[in-house]
Amino acid sequence: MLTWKEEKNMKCLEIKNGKGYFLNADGEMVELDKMKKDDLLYLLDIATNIDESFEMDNIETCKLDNQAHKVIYENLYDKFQELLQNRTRFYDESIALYKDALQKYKQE
Amino acid sequence: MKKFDLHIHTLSTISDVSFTFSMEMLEQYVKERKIDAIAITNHNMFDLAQYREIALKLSDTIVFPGIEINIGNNAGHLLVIAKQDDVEEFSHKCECVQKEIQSEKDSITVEQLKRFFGKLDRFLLIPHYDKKPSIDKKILAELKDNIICGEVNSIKKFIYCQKDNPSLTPVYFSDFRAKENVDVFPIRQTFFDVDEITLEAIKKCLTDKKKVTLSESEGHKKFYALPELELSTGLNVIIGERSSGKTHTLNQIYKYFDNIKYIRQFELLETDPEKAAKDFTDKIAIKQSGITKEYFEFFIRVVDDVKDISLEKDEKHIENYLASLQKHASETERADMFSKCKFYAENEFEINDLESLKKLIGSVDVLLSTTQYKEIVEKSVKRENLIALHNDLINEYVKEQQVVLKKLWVNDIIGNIKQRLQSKTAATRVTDVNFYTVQMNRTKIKKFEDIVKGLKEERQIYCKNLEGFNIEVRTKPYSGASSLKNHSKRKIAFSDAFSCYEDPYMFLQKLKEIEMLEDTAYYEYFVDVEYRILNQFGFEVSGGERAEFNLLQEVNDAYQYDILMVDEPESSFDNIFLRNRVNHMLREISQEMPVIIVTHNSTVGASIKPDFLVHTKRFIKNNKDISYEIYYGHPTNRNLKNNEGKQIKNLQATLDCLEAGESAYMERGKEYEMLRD
Repeated sequence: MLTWKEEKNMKCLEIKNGKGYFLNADGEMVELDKMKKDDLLYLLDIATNIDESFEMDNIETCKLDNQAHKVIYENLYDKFQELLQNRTRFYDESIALYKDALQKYKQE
Repeated sequence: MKKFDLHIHTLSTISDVSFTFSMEMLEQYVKERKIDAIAITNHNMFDLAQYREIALKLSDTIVFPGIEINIGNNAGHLLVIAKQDDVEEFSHKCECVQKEIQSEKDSITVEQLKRFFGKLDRFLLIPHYDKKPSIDKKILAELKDNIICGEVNSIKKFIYCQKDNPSLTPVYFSDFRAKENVDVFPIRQTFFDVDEITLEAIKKCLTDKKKVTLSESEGHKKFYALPELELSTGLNVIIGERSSGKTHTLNQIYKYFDNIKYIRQFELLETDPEKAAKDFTDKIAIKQSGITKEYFEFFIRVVDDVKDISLEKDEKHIENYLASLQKHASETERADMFSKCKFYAENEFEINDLESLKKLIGSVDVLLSTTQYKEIVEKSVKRENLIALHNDLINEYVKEQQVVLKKLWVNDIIGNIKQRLQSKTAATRVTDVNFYTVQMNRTKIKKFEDIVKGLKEERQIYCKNLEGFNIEVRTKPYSGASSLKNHSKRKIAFSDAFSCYEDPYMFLQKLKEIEMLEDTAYYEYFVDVEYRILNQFGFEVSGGERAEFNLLQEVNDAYQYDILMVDEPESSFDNIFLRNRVNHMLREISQEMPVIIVTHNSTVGASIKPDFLVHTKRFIKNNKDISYEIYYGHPTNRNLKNNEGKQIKNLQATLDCLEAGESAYMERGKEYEMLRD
């Protein structure tokens, strides 16, 4: 059976019924104004993991009636959009990071 | 055989420490050392009047006019020595040099040398060869037709050049400053096998290495260790009864040479075993510190990169960003015209430092510029493809750099506008946070923790066998706060830090809180380094073995010196060790430099098979007048003789000193025979 995450193709920011939602670590969609520090760090992990897809509803095509949600969504959307554009660079950089040290001191 | 010193200073120049010339000292030097010919070679100048004065005063000695010139980019030194008859003309030529060289670092070129001095074959040229500042190899090649010998600054280098065919004929001179109050005159002179002392005869002699020696009597197998004592350039043994002047002789030799390894009597004997054990470990640690530093090289870079990361601060930034964003959003209903502006909560662009692209370009650069592996590279990748790749990457860099510059420009504008809008309203300001940096910092810490985990695994990082001992360097986790404190060698409390030792990130934060710790040393506290010396059975060494190891280390260390002197090694070690290990090493070293051993032990004195034997004797007359005499000769000689030609029986002297006399020796022989039966 498919899990919710796979079914939803890792939609991390979603607009539904005029409101904004985010995906939390338990796989639930939670309203944006409830987002906490750990939730954002969780989303950062997905956004920088090249093996996972990070989907967001486009703010231009989906209507967001809740004005507060709109402000938060717009801001987060822009920031994640930019991070996703640098996803490959992040991947390359983290693969090369301390490679020689990890190799030299690896556990035997 | 004639004795020469063709390198003497009589003028204090900009290249010298200031001194006042003393004619009296020069005269005394030449007389005491019985020198047949000298050359006056001051730095980059020639004083004709002084030269004439010296030549007149030293009427029994040939005095050549000369100059020591700075030549080439590295201002290496070159002696130019002229015929006595050409002194006036030579003086004019030297004036040209003097004009060109106004400071210690100035020098002339080969072209200038040729222009100033004309035909160089009229002179004797002696470059600093194995002596600082030495002449550049390129200049040696340019002057090869006019150079037949080179100056060296030690007996060891002289021996090396003599044995090494391609080397120039070595000459060994004093570089003496004839100044007031000289304590001891140098014994650095060279013998040339010439009848007449002329520049032509000297030059001819220098073309044959066999005719250039350190000793009058036995060619290059001997050298002057003291003004009146010639020793072998190989292995010498000094024997003699107690208080007969053996150590005194070594001390005298020590005064005459600069770079001597001198292992004094009892120097390696342990008086306080506990302290000795600690000193020993510290010494090994210092000796092996290069290996440790090399092992930790990558880790040092990692620690340097992560030491300023604070995950707590990053999380706080995230928290502030979210809180301010949510608060700002909740205020939308009552937003004013300023906070409603899109720019009010606008984020700045994240800036790519283009590091990975720069590295990539650098790597292609390396492939393109290698000459050593060019063929291998071009076997797989065509050069034109590499050039095309290089161009593409550069173009991409230019493109991305333009984007970066644009983003920086926009960020600047956003920042300014935001600041102005925020100053007009009471609405909540949205603080910014860089997602990329926050996430990269978390990745760095994660990798750092993995590295420390691997690093803490106990392992051997270095092992070397030295004459039957194994030097072993191991890493292992620190056992407690006290071991961290011991490592720091300071009164620092590490208990708080050690409580987090299992969590590398937290441990690093705790180290950062210790003010007395320098951040460049943080890496040392993650894993302990243990230095051990194991004996041939794999056990840690005992006190006696430790001293043996120290002696072997000291003897091995002698290769960096020009002469090795060991005073009574038997006072600290047993005969089996001396015979099996030390003797062998001493013989090896004596192939490269003079070795002088003082002993009254037969294992060292006789079994080592020295090349030359010295016997010191003390005479007491009328119960108060003490005099010392030195007898010497080859160990196989029937008699040993002193400088005045007086002789003593070699066998008698050897048995007295090494075997406690002939009767004791015979008696011991009988006892051993009985035991054998």
